[in-house]
Amino acid sequence: MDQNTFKPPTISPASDRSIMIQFNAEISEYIHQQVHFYSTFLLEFHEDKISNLSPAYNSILIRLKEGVSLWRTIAKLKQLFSENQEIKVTAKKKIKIPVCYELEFAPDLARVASLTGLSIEQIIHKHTTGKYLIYFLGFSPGFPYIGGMDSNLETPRLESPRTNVPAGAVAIGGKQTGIYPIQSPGGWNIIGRTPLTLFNWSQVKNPALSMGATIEFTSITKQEFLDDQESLF
Amino acid sequence: MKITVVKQGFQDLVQDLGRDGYTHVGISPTGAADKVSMKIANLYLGNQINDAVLEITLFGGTYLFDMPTTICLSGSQFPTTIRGNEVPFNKPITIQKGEALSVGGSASGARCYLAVQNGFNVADLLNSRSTHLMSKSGGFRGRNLQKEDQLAFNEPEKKYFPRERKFPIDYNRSVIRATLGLQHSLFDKPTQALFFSKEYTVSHQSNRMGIRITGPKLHKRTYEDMITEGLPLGAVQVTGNGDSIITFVDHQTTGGYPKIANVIAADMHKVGQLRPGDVFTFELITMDKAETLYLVQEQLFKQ
Repeated sequence: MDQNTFKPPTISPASDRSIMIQFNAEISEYIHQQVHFYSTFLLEFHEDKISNLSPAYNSILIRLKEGVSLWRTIAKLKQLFSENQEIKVTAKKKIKIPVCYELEFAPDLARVASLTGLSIEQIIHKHTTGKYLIYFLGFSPGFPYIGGMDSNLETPRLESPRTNVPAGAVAIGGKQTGIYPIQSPGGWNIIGRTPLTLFNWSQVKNPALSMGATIEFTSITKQEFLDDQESLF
Repeated sequence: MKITVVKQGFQDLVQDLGRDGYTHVGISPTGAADKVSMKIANLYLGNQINDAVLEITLFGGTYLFDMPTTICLSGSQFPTTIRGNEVPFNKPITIQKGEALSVGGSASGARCYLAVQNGFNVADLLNSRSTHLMSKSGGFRGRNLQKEDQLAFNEPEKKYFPRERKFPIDYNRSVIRATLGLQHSLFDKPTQALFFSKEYTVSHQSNRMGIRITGPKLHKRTYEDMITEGLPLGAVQVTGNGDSIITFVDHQTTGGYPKIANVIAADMHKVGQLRPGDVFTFELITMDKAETLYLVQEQLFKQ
């Protein structure tokens, strides 16, 4: 997908108080740049209509403020996207994340191994050599959806989500990999844990893990994990 | 000015209309589970519509007041007394210094709301006093009230209470209206028909994040995972094993399960009143009808 094949997004009601802006059904850096640009733009210039905005891989969900008309807002958004906007791409922040992949912190590593046919060493190698991009934050406070995972690591989500995933858990869900910044429920396969603190309420407006940043995972031992408990803030 | 918890309720939470504006960093708005009842309790006291209230779920506790003030209860009827005298709902009630308010177990829906004049007084977190349970933040120490906790309330003032207003709200939770969800077409027509005709029962595993319901298992036409996207409030998500979950106030901001339907905004208060064991059906309505119902409901609360 590039400039020449880009199609304007489809815009439709998601509920009677929310609107879904859907770009091409693909996870790509090109689409991400569109989502990033328009999310920032909408938050900045349409604050009066939007109570909440959730960007994702290829979509933006908008929740309307009280009293704002659903259909009129859809019409306005359609007009906005029909005008050719020049997408501005900002420089990427780079973040290093140490991860301990030892079994104690990786309850689903064996499941990922059996479903992918890879050895545990191969999984760790592939997971630490990937080039990752934070596509967006969602799910729970500060949770980064990270793209760029080796497709050989693709593993289906758990049939039934866990009620408690510990803070710092690093996981694989389908084609995606992620980190749980706070303890929360979750349906992804847990393959390791980082000792870093990744979410802080006082930094919400400028989070350490932010949309558009790039990430590098490095493998650490359990001893290093215990020595390395610090905050990214 | 404060209340002291003499006896702990099941889940007493400080809530307001929610913490809007941060779903893009993964923070769900939370707020009262039944915002209609919460607004009514505040309006009867002449409060700001967003003043912090106490949300009482399934059964309440006993709360001792150290200063006189005026309170109002709204929502599902919970047997409630002061000095053994029954306390009517939807009416301003004066409570004296040293008196305790006792709230029993609900005879009907899941929640009632206790408002005090000028609201409960807890610190603001990103412009809201709502409890965010998932991160143990906001509200009263990020958790439900426990025995011996002291929750401050704001100073009451001498004022006339608004003329008694009527709020014609439909609390019948045996029918919940919904529009088609964003991924309804991932389910074939007979599966959609099943969803909109069969009875669902509220599971004990429900909470403020999601109302888990048991009923017919729904299966997609393909096994392919969809791409994760933002979650609208009230979205009915269908999990990998065919179970349905209604996305609720403390929900995750994005999710990867397909959404077959979405509860309409004007019926979200009914979802806040659903309790384990409740049986109901979903009724399909159009997006236009849903928006009209929402606007009509909003009009009731104009101050």
